[in-house]
Amino acid sequence: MGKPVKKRSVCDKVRKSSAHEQIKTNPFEVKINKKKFEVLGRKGKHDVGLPGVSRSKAHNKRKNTLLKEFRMKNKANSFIDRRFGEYDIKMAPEDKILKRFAMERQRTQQKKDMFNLNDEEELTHYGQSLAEMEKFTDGVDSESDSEEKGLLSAEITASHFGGGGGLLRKKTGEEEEAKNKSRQELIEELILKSKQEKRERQTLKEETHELTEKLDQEWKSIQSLLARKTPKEREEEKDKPKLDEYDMMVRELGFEMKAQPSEKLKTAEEIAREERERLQKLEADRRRRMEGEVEENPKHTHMSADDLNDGFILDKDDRKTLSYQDGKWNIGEEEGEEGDDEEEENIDEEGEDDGDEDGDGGSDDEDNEDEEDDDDHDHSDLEDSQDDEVEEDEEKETSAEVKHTLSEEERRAIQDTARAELPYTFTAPECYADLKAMLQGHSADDQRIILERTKKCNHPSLAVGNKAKLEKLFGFLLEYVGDLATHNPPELTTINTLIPQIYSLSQLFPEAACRVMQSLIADAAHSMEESIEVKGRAAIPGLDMLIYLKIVTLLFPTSDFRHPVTTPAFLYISQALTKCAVVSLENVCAGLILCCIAVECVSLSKRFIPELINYLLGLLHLAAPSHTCTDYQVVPPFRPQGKSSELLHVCDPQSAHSWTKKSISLSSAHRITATTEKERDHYRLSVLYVCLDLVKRCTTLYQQLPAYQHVFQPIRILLAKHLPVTDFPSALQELHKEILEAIPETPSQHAPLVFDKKKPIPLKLLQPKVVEVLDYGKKRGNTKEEKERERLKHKYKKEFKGALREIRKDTRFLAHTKLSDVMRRDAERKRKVKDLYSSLANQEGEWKAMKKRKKK
Amino acid sequence: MAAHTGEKRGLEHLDEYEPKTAKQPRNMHDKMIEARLVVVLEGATLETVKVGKTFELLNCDQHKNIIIKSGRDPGNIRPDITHQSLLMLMDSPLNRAGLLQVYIHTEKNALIEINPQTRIPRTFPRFCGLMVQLLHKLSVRAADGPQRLLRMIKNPISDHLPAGCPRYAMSFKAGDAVCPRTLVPKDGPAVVVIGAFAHGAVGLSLHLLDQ
Repeated sequence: MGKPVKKRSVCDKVRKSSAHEQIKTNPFEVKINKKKFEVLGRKGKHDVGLPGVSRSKAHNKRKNTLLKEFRMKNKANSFIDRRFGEYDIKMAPEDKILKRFAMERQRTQQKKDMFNLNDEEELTHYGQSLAEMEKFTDGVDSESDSEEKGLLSAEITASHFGGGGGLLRKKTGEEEEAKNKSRQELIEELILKSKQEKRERQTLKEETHELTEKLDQEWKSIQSLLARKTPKEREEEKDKPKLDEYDMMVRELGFEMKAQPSEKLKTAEEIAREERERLQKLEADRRRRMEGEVEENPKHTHMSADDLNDGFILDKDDRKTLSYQDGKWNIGEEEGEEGDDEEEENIDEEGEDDGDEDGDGGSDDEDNEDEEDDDDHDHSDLEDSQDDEVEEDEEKETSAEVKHTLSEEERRAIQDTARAELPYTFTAPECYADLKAMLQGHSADDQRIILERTKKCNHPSLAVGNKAKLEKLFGFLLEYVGDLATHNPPELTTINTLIPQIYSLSQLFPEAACRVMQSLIADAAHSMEESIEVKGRAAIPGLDMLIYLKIVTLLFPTSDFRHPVTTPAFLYISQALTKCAVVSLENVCAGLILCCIAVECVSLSKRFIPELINYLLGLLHLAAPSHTCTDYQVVPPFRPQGKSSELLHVCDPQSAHSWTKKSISLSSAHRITATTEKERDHYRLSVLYVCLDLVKRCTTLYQQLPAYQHVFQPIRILLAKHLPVTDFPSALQELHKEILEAIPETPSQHAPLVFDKKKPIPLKLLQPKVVEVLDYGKKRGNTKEEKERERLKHKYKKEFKGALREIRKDTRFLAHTKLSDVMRRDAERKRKVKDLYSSLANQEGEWKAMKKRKKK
Repeated sequence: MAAHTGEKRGLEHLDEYEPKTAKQPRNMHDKMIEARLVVVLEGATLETVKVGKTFELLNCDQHKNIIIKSGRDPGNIRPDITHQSLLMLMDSPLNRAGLLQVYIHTEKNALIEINPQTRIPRTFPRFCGLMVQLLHKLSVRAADGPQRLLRMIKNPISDHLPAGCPRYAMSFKAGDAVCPRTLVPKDGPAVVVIGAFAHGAVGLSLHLLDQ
């Protein structure tokens, strides 16, 4: 520890000396370390160095330490002060003395004295024995604890300070006997006195203490009396139980069950709102399905079955396998329009047609209007709730029924009697023959009632097997419908009445309905493909298939992006529209029915069906007189020229005048009743009217399509240039005009598609790497331990280098010292030798001089 | 690779639509010959200062006291000008297309070359950190790659500029404003010297044409 102090002292010496200031300012002494960069705020430790000063400092230090050691080298004896703490600078001199004294005392306390109690060592104070002093201080000691410490009674003062004389004088004044008393006696007397006083005081003190204690006890006894509780408090204590009772009452009341609030009665508004919300939700669901956002739900049929409420009848699967119908494919072709209503209407027409074939335009017009109304109704039905539709259906039924009965009064009478006889329970039919037997011979209405009762009797909730039975019944019913359609003439009224039953069954068993429908459509499609492969062409689907397709659109949602039943039905329709040849007016009618169904299906989703447009174009093409033009193209099944390419060409322009607007009956897809050329012309005009009407609907439907103008351009060309409109009746001309207005003359020219010229790929930007900036050096190591080790290593290296340097300097210093010693010694020897030589020379000279003188 | 080219057979006419990568001069000769713009930010005040134990970029907002103590004008020490200029230059489409080279010549006569691929830090504090690192380490590499993004290069700057190309300087005292389009040489590079300081003028020993 001595080193730093020494060092400091040396440094201080250097610094404090006035020379230091001069040195600091002396440019020859100062060495400035050159810095490469000037950094503000950096305080460099080593900007300026004083090499001379530091060298001299080091030299001095060596002189004081190393040189001394060097000088003492090989010296055996040396003076060592072995007194305690002689070389300890930190110790204060007093401490040193005390310690030394204590040690000396310890040395004197030998073992043998350990039990020697009497031989007390003599205590001294400033060299005087304390025992001696005690003799004189006895009296003073006694009063040390007394209360009158500070009081100096004259007596005591006199005795203490007055000296023997004074005291003696007093005593002599009071008592002559006292004269005799020696000084010793006097003192003893005094002591006694004081002791007595002391005792008295003590007794007094004890008495007062006892008294106070007594008083305390008494007070305590009184206090307990005073601290008694006030009567008020006692009263409260008494009240407590009373309050408890009251509280109990109150709480009981509080905890008593209150009347439960009943459900709030909903107002009409609320109910309506709820209904609306429900409908909105369903509509959203429908839209979602239309967009094709199919959830990953394997039970898609169930999903759509749930969708019933938005007005689409989802679940009825109408068709059964049609194997038995295979032979009858070509039989029926009739005109079918949208919906059951139409069928009814058509039937009515038939009835009327019977009455007056060329009949009054007025009644026909009425019919048409009715039809249109019904159409509208039908569309609205689609959007209405399911219940509505069911009701609607029923209404239709009844209306149909009424008409029917009106027309055939005799049958009506029979019906009435038959209905009266109808049994009220029916067993579910086990096979198709059973069903046929059950239903045949009854009127349409009765059939409905029979089915209804069958359904009720075999409701799935009544018995276990009923579900399967009814599922089977559904299939049979479809088969029956198909069968009815193949009759000649087709029993459309009956079919119409049966549809509600089919619908309700499909409601009950959506999965089964789906299955049956799918197999029906698949079979039909397969048979068509087969016939195409074998014959190269296929016949247009029969009336039963058309009705099945119609039922599909009624039972299942047509707007879904993908649906297990409607999607195959679509495919089937487009297949029929592209593959089935058109060779007769019946074919045209069936094709038109297919087109109608297709248009109806996409009326909500607005999906584009190219087959539909092509087919309509082809139909219109059939009506054009000359087929030489090539500014539009017809696609198969139509051919630009050929045998049946003028099927719809009106032969006699005069027939247009006698033509009246009337709808085409569904059964005409089966067989056309018209025989004369004029009737056929009328029929052609009707077909053309329907065709144009469909085109118009398509234009409104596809108005939003981007390719709208281009898609309809061929139709426009055909209508504008090639169709002999002037020969047509005015209704047709009007339609024609409207369509032409709807389609722009020339499609807007789009710029040809080109690739975007892409920008050159820009240079990739690179993030600069951020490294911590340290004062110097690199930061090594990642973990804490590593860093610590690196730090220590670095420090060790530095210290090692420093030590080496120091050692080198030491050796240099020592070598220098040795050399200077040798030099000095040599110089001395030289001097001595020189002295000797000179003295000898002197001697010699003197001796020679003496010799000379002697010679003389 | 063969399969890839086989795929493209017959589609050669689409080649012109294929986006091309921006070219980067590979060697000194390209740098000197190819048409591009060289921008020199002159007189940028990039200087480090030690505050506590850390180094920071000298900045008139943070180190006002130090600046005043050292007897300088805080208004002149504006590294943010350099930052903004660099951000604009390096994010420009010209630079992204590899047609720009930026040098910074600081007030302390340090010369910095900036790789066109450098993404300049968006925030000023980060920029300061990066500049401090550059001034101490003399080069900054990419975080994920061997490229040197920023580096200190040897003075004088004329060694690094294309020989014989027109050199323009911005001046406040110039007469009429000149449309930059007129300055574009037919081929070969051009140099523009822009001051990155708040007050003052570009005083250079370059051979300059005034704009």
